[in-house]
Amino acid sequence: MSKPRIGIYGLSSCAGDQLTILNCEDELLEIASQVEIKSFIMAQTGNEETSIDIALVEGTVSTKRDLERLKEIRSRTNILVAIGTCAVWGGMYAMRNDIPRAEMIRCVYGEKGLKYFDAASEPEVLPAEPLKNFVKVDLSIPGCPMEKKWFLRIFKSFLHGDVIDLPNFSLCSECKMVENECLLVNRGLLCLGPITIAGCKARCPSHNIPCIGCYGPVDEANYAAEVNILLSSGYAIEEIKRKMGFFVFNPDLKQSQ
Amino acid sequence: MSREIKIEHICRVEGHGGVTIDLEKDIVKLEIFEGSRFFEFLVAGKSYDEIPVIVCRICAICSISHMITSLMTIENAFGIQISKQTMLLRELIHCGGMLESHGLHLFCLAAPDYLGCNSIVGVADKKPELANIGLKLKKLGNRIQEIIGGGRPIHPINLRIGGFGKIPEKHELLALKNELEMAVNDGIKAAAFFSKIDTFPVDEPQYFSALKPVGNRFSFYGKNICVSENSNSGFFNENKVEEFEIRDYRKVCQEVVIQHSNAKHSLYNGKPFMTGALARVMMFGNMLYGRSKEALDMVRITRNPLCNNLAQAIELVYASQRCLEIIDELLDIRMENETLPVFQLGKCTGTAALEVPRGTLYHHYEFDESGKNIKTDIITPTAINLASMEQGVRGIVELHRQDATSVEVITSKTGMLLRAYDPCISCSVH
Repeated sequence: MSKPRIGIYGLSSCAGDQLTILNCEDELLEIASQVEIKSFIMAQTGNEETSIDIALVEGTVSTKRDLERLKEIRSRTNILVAIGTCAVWGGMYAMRNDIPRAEMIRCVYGEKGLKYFDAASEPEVLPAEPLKNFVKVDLSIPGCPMEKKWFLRIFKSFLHGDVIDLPNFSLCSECKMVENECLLVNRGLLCLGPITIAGCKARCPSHNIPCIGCYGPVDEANYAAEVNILLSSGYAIEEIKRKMGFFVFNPDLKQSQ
Repeated sequence: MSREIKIEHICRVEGHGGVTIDLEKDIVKLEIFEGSRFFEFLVAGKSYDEIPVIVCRICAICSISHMITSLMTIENAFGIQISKQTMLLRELIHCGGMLESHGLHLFCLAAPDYLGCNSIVGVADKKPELANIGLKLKKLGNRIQEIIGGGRPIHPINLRIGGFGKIPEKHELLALKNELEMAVNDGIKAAAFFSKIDTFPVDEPQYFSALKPVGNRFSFYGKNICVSENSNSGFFNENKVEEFEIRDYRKVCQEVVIQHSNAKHSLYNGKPFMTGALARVMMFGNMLYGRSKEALDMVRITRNPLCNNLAQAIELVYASQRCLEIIDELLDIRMENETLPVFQLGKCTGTAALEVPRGTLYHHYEFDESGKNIKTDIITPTAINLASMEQGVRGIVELHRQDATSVEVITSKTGMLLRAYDPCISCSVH
């Protein structure tokens, strides 16, 4: 049987999910022997942009170039996996998608910079969006960054044709399992555990730090209940919205006011 | 014969950039097309305590660098003092970050250039011991970051303004000592390898810049910014050095917006300058001590930017040795969970700088009365180095434009030179 052909790609991002793959120091050479890595620009030369079985794609679509690249990758892969919260949800870079890009360009690059960006015939800069807004995504591995453990488990599942099993419950379940004191209810902290998908074994609450939602929202999250708890603890709606906005949890908060 | 050379995508570097060279029109462009994420805008209006978790996501390899610099900037703004324990734990995780970053760069990204292969897989084929050393060092750096940072090496969670969420267990630190001692030796082996590789002549940057260590020993922490002008004297030469306070960093990094690059360039006196391991070792290598001094004495290092690889190898020795010292000190002072300092909010400004894997990193924040961020300025080492990298490529083009095989030679040397700078393109754009 021929080895699966894979490609590892990054759009605009911090490269944290690609780095998570490179951080599998004990498994890296073994991984490389099990598959044919056709493209991994961050880690190898001699890349071939050809038809592949699996594409792992990190980052958000933030430029026209990102979008073209994503579509081009989709056109030649059987399976496309979104790795990391940016690729899955848009992540932190999407937190100000309400603002016109020109305003952001002016803030960071000044008037001269704005002129340079305007000089491009079509707008080069796009609001930061997740992959699923543009192409079919076959599997999503959230996490900021994606957890090494989940990457390895899913990678093995692919190789063996096993069923892929990622958590689909909220962070609170994991937090209870490690017997942490509840930061939200008992200590009145602004913890997003109830509305965030599990997978990190409640890393932050285990360090006395409230969850900021870096894995993205859990299915059917009860935003209203979360907001009501926070309001009754004395948090202003503006702060709640801002904190939920870090990783683009977008409930309609009017209903719970 | 084609007069245009195009490197569509520079490989084995973090982030997205390419090179366009037109031999006829004499154009050399280091094109940085990584999308901007507008971090300086994203943090605008955020509360002071929300900034570190946002800005550490500028870059994964450098997340600990941004995290610490961000905390230092906030502490500088509000006048927060940190304990000896916090200082040491931070330096320990920072050295862990150095081990991971230099380990990744030297063995996975740079070494293939000198062994004629494509990746770490080829390195493992041709020089199994070297690959093994590299992966071990990298893994150790990650483990240190996991232990101190709260269980993951990227985007650490455990660092707080004024302290830590939870301090590590004593036995976790003790367990690192054996491997760190091995890492010192492995670093020396790495230095021996990188001292033997063939370099080629490259235009040397006119200026080097690094933070001056606070005491009389080499350190990644410094008080003032030093800029040294190219001289043949080698190490730190007082007469040729200009010194600036960190809050005056804009006098050193004069930023310009460039049409072909989403990352701004920084110039000093209108000229490109270089920051990074090579700048640190060339300017302050005489302050190295112990095994890292042995490593330095063993090799010949010059201002050629390709020697940045060798300088990073020497820093692997220093970082490992420093981790051992810090662990001993931490065990001596008997670590305990500390309450985080209380401080007054108020309209204020903070600036901090830190020597991080790729050079000097600057953060600057301004806050209103309620602690909301009203202005941010971040200058990363790769953004500083871009002008010098572009100049280096221009030098290669000048040297080889008449050769019959110029396209191949220019392409290959350009790749090697750019990789030697260990660019972090995501950081440079941010």
